[in-house]
Amino acid sequence: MRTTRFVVAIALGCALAQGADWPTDGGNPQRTAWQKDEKILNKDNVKNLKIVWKLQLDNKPIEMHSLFPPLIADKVNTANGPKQIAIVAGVSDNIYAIDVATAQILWKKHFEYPPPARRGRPTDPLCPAGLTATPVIGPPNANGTRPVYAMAGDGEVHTLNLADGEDLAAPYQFGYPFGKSYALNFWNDVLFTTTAQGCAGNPNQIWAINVKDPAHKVMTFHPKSGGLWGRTGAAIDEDGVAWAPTGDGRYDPATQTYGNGLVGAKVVGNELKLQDYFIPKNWAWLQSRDLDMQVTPAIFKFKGKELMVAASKECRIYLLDTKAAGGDDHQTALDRTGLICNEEVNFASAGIWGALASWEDAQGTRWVLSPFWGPVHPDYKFPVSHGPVTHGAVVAFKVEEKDGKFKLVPAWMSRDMDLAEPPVIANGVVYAYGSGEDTEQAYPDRGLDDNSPERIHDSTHAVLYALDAENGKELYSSGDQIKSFVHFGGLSIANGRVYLGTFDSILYCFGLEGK
Amino acid sequence: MNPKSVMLMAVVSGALAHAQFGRGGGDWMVAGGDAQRSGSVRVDAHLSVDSVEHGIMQTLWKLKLNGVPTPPVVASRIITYKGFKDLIFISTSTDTVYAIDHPYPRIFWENHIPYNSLLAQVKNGTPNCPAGMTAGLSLATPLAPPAPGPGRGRGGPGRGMAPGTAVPTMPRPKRTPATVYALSSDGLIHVLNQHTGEDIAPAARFIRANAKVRDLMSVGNVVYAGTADNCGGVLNGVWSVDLSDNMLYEYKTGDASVIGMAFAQDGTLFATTTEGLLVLEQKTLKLKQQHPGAFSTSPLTFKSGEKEYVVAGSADGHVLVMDAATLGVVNDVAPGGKLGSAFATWEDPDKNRWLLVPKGNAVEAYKVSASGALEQSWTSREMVTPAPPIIVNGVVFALSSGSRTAPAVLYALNLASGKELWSSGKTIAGYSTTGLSAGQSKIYVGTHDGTLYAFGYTLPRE
Repeated sequence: MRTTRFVVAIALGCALAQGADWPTDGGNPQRTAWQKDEKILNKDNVKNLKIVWKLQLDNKPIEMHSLFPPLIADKVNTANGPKQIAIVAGVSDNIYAIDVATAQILWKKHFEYPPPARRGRPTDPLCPAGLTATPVIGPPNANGTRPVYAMAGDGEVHTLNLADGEDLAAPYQFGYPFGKSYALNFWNDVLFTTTAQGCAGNPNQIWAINVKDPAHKVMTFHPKSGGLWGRTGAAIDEDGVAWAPTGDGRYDPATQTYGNGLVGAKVVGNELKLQDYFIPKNWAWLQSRDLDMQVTPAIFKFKGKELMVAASKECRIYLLDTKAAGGDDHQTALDRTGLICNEEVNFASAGIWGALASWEDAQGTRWVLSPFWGPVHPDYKFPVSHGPVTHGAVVAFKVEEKDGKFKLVPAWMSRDMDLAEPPVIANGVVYAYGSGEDTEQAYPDRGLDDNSPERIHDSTHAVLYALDAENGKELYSSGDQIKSFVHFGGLSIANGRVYLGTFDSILYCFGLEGK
Repeated sequence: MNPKSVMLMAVVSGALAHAQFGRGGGDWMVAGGDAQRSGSVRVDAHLSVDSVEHGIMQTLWKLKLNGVPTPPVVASRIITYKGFKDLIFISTSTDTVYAIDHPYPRIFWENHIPYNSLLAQVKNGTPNCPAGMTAGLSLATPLAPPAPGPGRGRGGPGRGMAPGTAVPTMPRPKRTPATVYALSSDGLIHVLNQHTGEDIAPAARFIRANAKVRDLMSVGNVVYAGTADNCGGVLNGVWSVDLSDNMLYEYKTGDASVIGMAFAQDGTLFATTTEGLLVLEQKTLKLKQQHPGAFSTSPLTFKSGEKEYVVAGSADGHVLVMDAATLGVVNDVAPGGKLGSAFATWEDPDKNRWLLVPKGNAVEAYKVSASGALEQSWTSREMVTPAPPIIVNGVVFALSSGSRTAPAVLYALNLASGKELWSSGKTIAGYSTTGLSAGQSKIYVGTHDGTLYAFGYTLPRE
């Protein structure tokens, strides 16, 4: 292994007894990005966050992609005793298992396969030729062995032992080679993913496969839309319905065409069947301006109902009932915010991107969090804000119910962040970051010219922030400690540690000294 | 919701679900819409006789500009550095070119072109020789109209669509900056970046300053223009400049003012003057043929099967249909009254060819047979100096241009019957000298007081 490591500071006396996991992108199948079990970091001590360690991995970035959000599992029984392990996937078909306490690589897996016949256009940021789906850690089997499900760039699913990286099963085909699958989700033995951008000829659809099915039948639902490119793939509700946003396209129920909306599909027998969908009434406007619905929803319980929030580049948030998304006409949300940002109607560097988040505080208040890019809309006001926002911010809403009507009530807007990315929440603290990524896809002199080299060159560096979840006040900023930007990465948090991988294939671990 | 609104929603939803956008469809590239000066939009997603009858037409906005506007040109789904835009480009007598971002409207950019000539600038014009920029704008106009076809690519499903899935309906987005051609009053031809309004190359000398320019048109990187009334001492004639080498070509017409121009699909250029119809070679403007007579309208051309016709109106009120190859007159009708400055033509889905003629105080509709024969069909309601009409998907938009005492009124008529479907009523405050443009379900009217009005349908943002 040619991995170069430099451990800035080895954690001293790491607390391994906390027992919190982050087994999937977005923290859980509902993609709330809420770490309920955080006990170390809190509002009072988060100001003392430091880079506990950073680890240079030998993953080679492809286009703008590099490291995907780490998965965390605590108390993993290894040959050397129980360990807290971070699983990090790299786009060049690498899986790293890192001992969180020592920042040592416990094992590494590199997937090899013959080059697929098709791949994305070189320099195209949309279609990197490699592993693109964040893996998922499955529940332990009877022996306590925990599987890591990882999809290689050729579309094969590998089932790896979390403890040592050994294959627990023979690989099997699930996705499309170089097809740009999004983060895996796992529910009742079924793996889900979504695909977008038609990379290498891949259809844009929801995919499912039962890991216990000996035939490994691949089940799909195709909404006949643009790409399903919610950053953390599909979110799964309590009935096992996988909800995924659909990119630009038409809405025509007569032909089962569901562009610019949100579709929910469920495994029925051995098929993936559409259960419900939501299409904004202004879908044609969204399509005409390339404002795709492309944000992974967050699903949560509130006052006996299971609700869901979704969003788009247009920059508004929809509150939906998972049991009847969009109501009888599939187009009426429980509530819909005004335009939070993107007054310019820009398809590239404004709007809501990635994923949403939700959590509940000790008083039972349900919160919804959203990142956005670009300036805040001049007509949208938050009761609490923290200075002018021109590059992006995280915003918080309270979910309220009155007389049976549900509403999203604006609560606060964070400080300006250079392209705010999906936040995570733990113990009353919101962790967010500005990616520092250059997101321009079109230029005055050339028009559309989305190319990785230029965007990489013009990107800066990410900044991690910790915010008071009650009011958005900044509690911590990493300043210029992170040296590179993040594209399609993301935060993970467990047991007093916050993780972020950057384009230069460095994994940063933030925490408190001695904790 | 009232029953009318419900019906309109049903009509619009149906139109959306089954809309047929042309490839690059719905753009209005030059005065008269295209190189043939058809004055028509072949297909439209929302405007139809049915939808207009059910109330789809709205007054969308009005915008005050600096100067007397020329007819705007329209380009849709441009991928700019500020997002996808439908842009309307318009010039005014003050040598200002605007790009207007529909549907707000917002000025996307504004370029006031400084006067740059050794000849003194004419600042106070006359009714016959107005001062300032007189030429409308042109986009790069294809020689032949594009075949209707589905759009695809960014902003549409495009890649990743499964075989057999529904046809996407949005027109193909324009990925690279196209150009706007503007002839400023100093006689320089400017090639402007549609995204920024900036010159993409040094402006080239084209025509002497202070000319009265008619029919600026860019086809195949060659820009054409006609001059009239010897305004500013500029000779009357047809002019062209090849922008690949800035070579200038001209065909002088002496005392005859150029009225307008149209291309046949093989590149032959027809130009009407006050003394005849000229047939000129593309770019070089060498005379191939001519037909004597005092013409008063721009020509238009259309194909019927393998045959191509050119239609033009004479000063004594005759509409002449001529074989484009021989200039033999195949039909000659006199609707009565003075003819307007241009006609419009459209082929309906049943392959019936229509010709619309503004004359006197009305618009007259003719069916055109395969042999070029004209059969009078209907005459519109009365109008004050009807402007050249346009046809959008079977709907005729006719403008009563008005006068100093009667403001302009826009009417929508059923092409099949002439029945009035809608009118702008008292919305327009002034009179119009600019005529009509259309694109993406919108109709644009400029008035002499510098106001641009937009009517039609826009996708609901909410």
